[in-house]
Amino acid sequence: MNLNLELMLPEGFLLISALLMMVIDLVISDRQKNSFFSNLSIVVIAITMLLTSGTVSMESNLAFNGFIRKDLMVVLSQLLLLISGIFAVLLSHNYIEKFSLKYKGEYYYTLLFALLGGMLLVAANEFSTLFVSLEVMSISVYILVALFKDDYRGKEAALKYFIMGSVGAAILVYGFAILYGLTGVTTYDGVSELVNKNGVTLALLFSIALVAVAFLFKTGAVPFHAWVPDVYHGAPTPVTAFMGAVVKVASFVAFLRLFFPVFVSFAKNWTPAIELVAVVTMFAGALLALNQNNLKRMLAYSAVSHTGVILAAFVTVPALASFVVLFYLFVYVFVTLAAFGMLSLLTTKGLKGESAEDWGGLYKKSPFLALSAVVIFMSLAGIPPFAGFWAKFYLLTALLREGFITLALAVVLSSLMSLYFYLNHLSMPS
Amino acid sequence: MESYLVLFLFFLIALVVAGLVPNINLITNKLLKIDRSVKEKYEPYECGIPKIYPLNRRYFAFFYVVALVFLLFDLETVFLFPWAVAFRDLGILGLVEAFIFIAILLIGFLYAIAKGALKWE
Repeated sequence: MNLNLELMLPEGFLLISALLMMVIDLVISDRQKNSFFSNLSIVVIAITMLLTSGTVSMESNLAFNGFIRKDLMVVLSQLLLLISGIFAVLLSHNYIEKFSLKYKGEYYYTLLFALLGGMLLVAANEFSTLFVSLEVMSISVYILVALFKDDYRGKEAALKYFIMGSVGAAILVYGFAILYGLTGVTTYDGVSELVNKNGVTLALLFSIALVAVAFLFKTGAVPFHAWVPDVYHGAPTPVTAFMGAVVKVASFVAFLRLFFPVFVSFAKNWTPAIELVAVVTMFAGALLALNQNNLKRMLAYSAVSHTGVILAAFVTVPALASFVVLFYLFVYVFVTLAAFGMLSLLTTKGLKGESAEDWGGLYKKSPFLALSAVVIFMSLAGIPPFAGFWAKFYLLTALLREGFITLALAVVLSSLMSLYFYLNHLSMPS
Repeated sequence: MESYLVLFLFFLIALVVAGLVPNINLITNKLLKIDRSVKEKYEPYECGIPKIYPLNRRYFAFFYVVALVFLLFDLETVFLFPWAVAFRDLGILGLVEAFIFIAILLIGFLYAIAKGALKWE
């Protein structure tokens, strides 16, 4: 038995605080709930961040008999998740003040449960742990999308997301079942050892394909991207920001951590598929975003395009992928939170803010907001002085160093295409 | 090792069967059915208690909340059975974990009661 419970201190603290918030929610009066719970959630997430930074170490440690692995990449991505959680809570407070929400306490602790699921998802080192934490995160997000009162669009989005997400989860479990059948173990280390010994078989490739499909679904890559615009558009804006940041980071890191140690020895079997999906995704996202009038839908398609760019970095496995993907996600999270936070701010201030025409004359009403919109969109498009450029720069450097010149060209071309719709939104006449 | 290809074969067969079965059913049903429609055939209990009111009358929508509360205890039982089977092997750690699990479910039950899930109006 090798429990190593002290490694699980941050997750345990988050779980216990969220459960306590459930109990507190039942006793305090409804009027003070919003500010009380938003303050409490920020304190809880901040303490969890402190505890998480306490578990930083250069070597990798196992907990729960090898079901959880914590190394530098895990802890860094957990911190990233927690930071985006704080921003989501900050956005939510004013949005809840403006729009009526009957379940205020529920909103905040469901957000914390989603964060807990994300934290466990990136740390998972075993198939059933991965699946359960993925479901904890996904189900919490379904609830968050549907929670606002009289919000028909949100409920529709939640139902669509729920049905599609269940199919994705079923595909994931089917892939895991075949892997378990091939090897008889469920920990990453055991599976990778046995799979390397047995070599490539049809059943193995089939199971890798199923698992990859489930993760491509969660990250919103092209053949499985149909839910992204509907759900991003229908969800309340702070929840959209949360989804764009937390769900994306957690799924990508879990994807990389499953494929990098376990299937890396067959990289030449699955990287061509990922490469193809990446190219199709970045172009489809950029093309579909061209004609969107609704800003949330436009940002959703741009998220699809960014997914393609991040997937492109996967082909540089094993040398540079972890570094490039994590850095790209680090930049992307802040820009996404800023973009959706901006929309949320405009909505709560009474400007409608969602359709492109509402943005005309924004500079006259609020020069600061207009200028930050310019910065955000330029960063999303990857224009040099901003962070989005450096993320793309490192990604392109990695691709060129590994010799994927056509893929690098595709990334540059899709970025140029996406520049059109970002600039188009900024040049709305008043 | 290769014998696990059976899993894949099983999936393919299931796919074919799933495509065929509903349609075969429809066709054979049309051909083979014996048409003997009498009024009693369409009663809820064909050979039993005669119905006293029409089936499409309204019923209590609140039952879904009760069903959700039932789900809570259903899950509890499902997860406690394997724990009870492996009770001796798990030892004190298993006991503690089972109590943590029950405590978490208890919070859910408290929540359901406080929100009035068991209040009949």
